[in-house]
Amino acid sequence: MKSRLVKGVDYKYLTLPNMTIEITKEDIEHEIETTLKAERLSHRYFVEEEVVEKDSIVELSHNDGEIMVHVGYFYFDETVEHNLLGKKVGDEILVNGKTEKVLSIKKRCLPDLDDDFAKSLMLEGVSTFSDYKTYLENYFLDFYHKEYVLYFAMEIFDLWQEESLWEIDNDEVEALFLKYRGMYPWSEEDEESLVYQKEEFFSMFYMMLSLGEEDECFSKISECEKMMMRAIEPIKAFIEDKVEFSWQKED
Amino acid sequence: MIEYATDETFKDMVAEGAVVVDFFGKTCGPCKEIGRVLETIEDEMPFVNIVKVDVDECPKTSDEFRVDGIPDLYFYKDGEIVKHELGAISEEELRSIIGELIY
Repeated sequence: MKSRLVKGVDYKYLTLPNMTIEITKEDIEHEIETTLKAERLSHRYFVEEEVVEKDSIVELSHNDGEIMVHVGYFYFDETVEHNLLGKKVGDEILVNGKTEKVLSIKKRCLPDLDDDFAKSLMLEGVSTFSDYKTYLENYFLDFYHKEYVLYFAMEIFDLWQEESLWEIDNDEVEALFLKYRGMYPWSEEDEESLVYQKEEFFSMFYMMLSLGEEDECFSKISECEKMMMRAIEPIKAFIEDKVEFSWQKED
Repeated sequence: MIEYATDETFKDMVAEGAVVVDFFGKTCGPCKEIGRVLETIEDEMPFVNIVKVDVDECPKTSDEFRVDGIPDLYFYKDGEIVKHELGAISEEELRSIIGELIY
């Protein structure tokens, strides 16, 4: 590598951003609600239904076998899914010019959020629904802490990079940026995504130089992700106890 | 169902049925975009399993697939790869591919 870090500034000389995060009871409640919704969805169970409605899961005879259709989302066939509405088990329907039969109709149901539900999750120390909410509250406080430490570490890396002294070879930068774009492709290449890509690329590029490593990580995505984590690890350790929450549990 | 694979569990997770494998990275912007779309699709399509592979946590699997760009999506039907898409694709394209995968 022709580019290199000439002199890195000590973190303690950087003007650190305010790292006190306000977390309200509502923020945590929102996270808990979202999780409960997702947990309920993943613990859905099936019940038989009389008549096909939107959201029914219908088993249809199809050619010489059977297929399942989740009615109303049109992954199968819009016309067929419309025509299925109101059908009962044994009714016939035309699919691609062929008569097929409704074999079964089911609906997914959500479990009740109660102590039994909480127990079924088999989490340590959780035997009631109230325990489960406390468990989630602690989980999210810990999760937020980790997320913010990562977020600020990335931000502080950029400050550190600006204050440090580098030798940069522009041809090398150009060549690596091309590699980078191949590694993190977007669906559309517009002006906005290009600006975003450049910002992300330069962070990654300087992280690599800060570690004094060669550019192999730009050829292998798993190495690249690991390299980024290695580069910000010292900053994470430096700010670990500096990221604080102002959080009041009680109203 | 959305499940996270490890190097040890990956092969079993793609062995049966219709499966979308999403190789992603924690710091990758386009991966977050695809992740959101997959969550919506998972709710609508109960017959598709979505297997997420963190390239950082699953180096062996990522190497086997020669993942050199993310997001990287593989579409499986009963253990066989039937389609591969590198990079973020639109919600519409993804729905269409999954429709074809199942039917």
